[in-house]
Amino acid sequence: MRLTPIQFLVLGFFLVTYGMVVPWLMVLQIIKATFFLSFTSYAATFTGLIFGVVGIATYYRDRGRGR
Amino acid sequence: MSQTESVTVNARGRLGRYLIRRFLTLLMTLVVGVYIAVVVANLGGFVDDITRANIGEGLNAMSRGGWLKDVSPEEKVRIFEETRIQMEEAAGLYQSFPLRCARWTYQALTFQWASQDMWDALPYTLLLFGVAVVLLFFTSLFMSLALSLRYGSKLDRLIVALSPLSSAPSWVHGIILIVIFAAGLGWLPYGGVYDIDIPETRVGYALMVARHLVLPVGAIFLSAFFTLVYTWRTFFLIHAGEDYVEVAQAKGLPYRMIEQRYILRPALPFVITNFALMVLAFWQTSIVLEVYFDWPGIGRLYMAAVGMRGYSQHMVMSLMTLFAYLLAVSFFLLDAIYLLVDPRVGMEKEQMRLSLHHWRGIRISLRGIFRGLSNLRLPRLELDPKGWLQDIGKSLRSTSEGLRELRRYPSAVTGIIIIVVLLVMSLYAVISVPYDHVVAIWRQSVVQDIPQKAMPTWTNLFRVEKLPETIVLDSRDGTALKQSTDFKEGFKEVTLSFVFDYPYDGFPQDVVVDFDAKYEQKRPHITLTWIKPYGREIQLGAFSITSAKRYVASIEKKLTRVLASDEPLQALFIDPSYSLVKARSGRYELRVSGVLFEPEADLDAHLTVYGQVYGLAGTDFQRRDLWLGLLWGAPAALGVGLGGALITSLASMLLAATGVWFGGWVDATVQRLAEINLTLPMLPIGIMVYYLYSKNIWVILLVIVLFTVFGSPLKTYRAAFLQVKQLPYIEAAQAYGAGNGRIIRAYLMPRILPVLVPQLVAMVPGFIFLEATLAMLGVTDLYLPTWGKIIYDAMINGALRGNYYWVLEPLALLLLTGTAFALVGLALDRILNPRLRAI
Repeated sequence: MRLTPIQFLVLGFFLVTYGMVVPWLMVLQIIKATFFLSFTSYAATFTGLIFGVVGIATYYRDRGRGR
Repeated sequence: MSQTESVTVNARGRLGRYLIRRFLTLLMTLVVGVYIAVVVANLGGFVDDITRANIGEGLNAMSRGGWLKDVSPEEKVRIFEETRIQMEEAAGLYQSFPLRCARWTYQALTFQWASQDMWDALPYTLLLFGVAVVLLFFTSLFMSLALSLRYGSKLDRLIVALSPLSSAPSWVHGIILIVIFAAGLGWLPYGGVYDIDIPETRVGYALMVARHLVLPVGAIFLSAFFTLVYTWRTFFLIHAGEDYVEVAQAKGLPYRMIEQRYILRPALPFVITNFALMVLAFWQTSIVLEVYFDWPGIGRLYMAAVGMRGYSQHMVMSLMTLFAYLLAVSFFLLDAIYLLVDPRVGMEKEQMRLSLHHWRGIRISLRGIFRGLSNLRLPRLELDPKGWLQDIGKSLRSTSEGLRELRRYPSAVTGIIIIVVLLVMSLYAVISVPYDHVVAIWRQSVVQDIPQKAMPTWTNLFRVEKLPETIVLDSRDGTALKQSTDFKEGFKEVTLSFVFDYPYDGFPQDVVVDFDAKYEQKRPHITLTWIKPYGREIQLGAFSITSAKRYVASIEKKLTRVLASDEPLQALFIDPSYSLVKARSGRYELRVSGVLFEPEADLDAHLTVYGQVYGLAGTDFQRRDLWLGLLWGAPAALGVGLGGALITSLASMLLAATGVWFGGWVDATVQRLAEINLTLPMLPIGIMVYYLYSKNIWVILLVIVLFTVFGSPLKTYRAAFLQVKQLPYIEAAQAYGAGNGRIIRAYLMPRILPVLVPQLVAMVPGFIFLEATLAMLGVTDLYLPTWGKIIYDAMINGALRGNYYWVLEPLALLLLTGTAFALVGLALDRILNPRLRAI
């Protein structure tokens, strides 16, 4: 997968945000709590943070190269 | 189709097949894992009983609804029984135990037993997790980046120093946060989701939820932040500075290729595995966190269901299955993400089998460890070893050389000093207070003159107005003056004078007099007189007493009238001339004048002025000296920590060595069991076993140790043994005809002992906190005091209403112990892994 560090970070950010907002909406009873939504939000949170790590790891190399 | 396109399609096909294979493997693992959980739950027939009861209740409901109303009573009973048997047969209740369990497993896996309560609770837990992850995303990721770029700065050193704090589970941080922000400052709610007045607007409702989220999310954040930052920053540093990266740069390879192939691939397994462990820890410890924050997630629901037994057993199984699903989903996602980032995974058969745990990364680490060990003069096992014990001795000697290196690390020295102090404390506890005695005191079989919920005495050092200590006087031991005057006709007057100095400003908790009167028929009559330092005498009362009468000032109704005060204890010690409400210091006297009507009669008394401070550690709600509990908590914690870690390490090592040596189906079985173990929610199963089968904490700990044997240490040892197996001396041992058992026992296992030490040390805090975590859920030894049990007692008996010492003392000891082992573990890691030593 050829994503730039920033793309990894942005994707990670959207995923973790989704993983936070969906349960919040379920708790506020704006949307109904379902198996599918719960699992997608968990998967999004989990994946989002790892994408963030990958993004930072590659970004670090970018910055570190100049040292 | 061009050749390039064809290669791409083939690669995608292989990746797809790999993902499908992983999915199916994990599914199988999940099925077996849930089957094991069902077998454990149904060993006592609990699931069968509920199914049977459900059928019976359904038939009764039908009967009440008019079913069989037109038939005779005899016929009704017959049809009812026949139908019941048919329904039970259809439900599989007459099948063999394994088949029945398989049926229950299917029902659990398809959530046929789940209720809407579970789906309603899940978002609350996910919300905790989601918000914590968002915070971690914005802080730990960027912090680790910043520290990597400013390696060695003050902030970097601070984070490294604080990283052992993350060895504590989230509930430990949670309690500290509650004490500070809810109980102390009153800024945030103690727990729950709702305020008393629920806002009517959606925004107000959302803000209310947000306010209640702050503390539990903060607890999760603190338990993960330092360790994540430390790990990520360390591996960014290591892998960017590897020689092969420099070589790749020197060769002029494109930067993106260097990044993908030489930096990310080796670093990611560690980073991702570390994250996975954090997620596992979250699901395990979320139960305690939710219980104590009264957060209506699946953890709290699980505890409510498992404690109720009966019909809730279905809910227990559903929640257990949900935990297993969440863990399985986590591992599948890890595989998929790893595949996305490093498409080489799955290309090779071997990697496909092992990729779940990112073996390559672990092997890289072990290679480093072995390199480090070779510097420490590892034992050279030749063809003619003098026996296993000698080998172990050699290995331990080489390990002790490594341990000597610890002196170069101040943090490790600090950790070792703390551990030595704890060991001395444990020895002192075991020698000075025998087990039977501590159990008797903790069961309150021994009555003591100890105040209730009294703070430690040393807190007076920080007070302007001193709180009183307990004063005990007794006419039988000479601390009170006893005078006896005989009169005519066998009459006698006994005067007991209890004189004591009271140099305090605070009021005592209570004043209690225990009378001990000896007489045949006529009860003695006594008069109590209280004499204040400035000479005022107050007659507290006059009454006849039985042989063992107790006079308690705080509950004597007459006393409020006599003293004309609703606060009799204040009235006894106050000086009316004072403008402030504080006790008058000086010499007090309680005079007991007794008239005895028989020549052989006698009177004695025991006065206790219960103070507000007591001993080194204070007291709890049952007047038990906390020092004793804290003292005995040390051997209990070290016993559980060291014992659990040692048993787990040795058993894991033996299993790994056996698997590696025999290979084939033996190794495959060990591997599959390890994978199944990963989807088994250990803590919920342990809790279930406690509630269903055994109230013995040691049995529960043994169950959890058995699960842990198949956990991550097994993987680490297996990777190490795979390398040792290739060494020439093993081949030589085979050549001279050494048997399998001998090779495993004498050549493989001793060689790996130096790896055992850091693994063992790193596992100790986990077991110490595990015992405390179980105790926090009421899963604890009934009589032996442990730190976890003291915290549990404190939390459910009002420690947060001003008695912070009660909860903070055991919590501090737990943190200190966990941190000490974590500090030593980190240093050992640096010593044995030269790549860490280099940074």
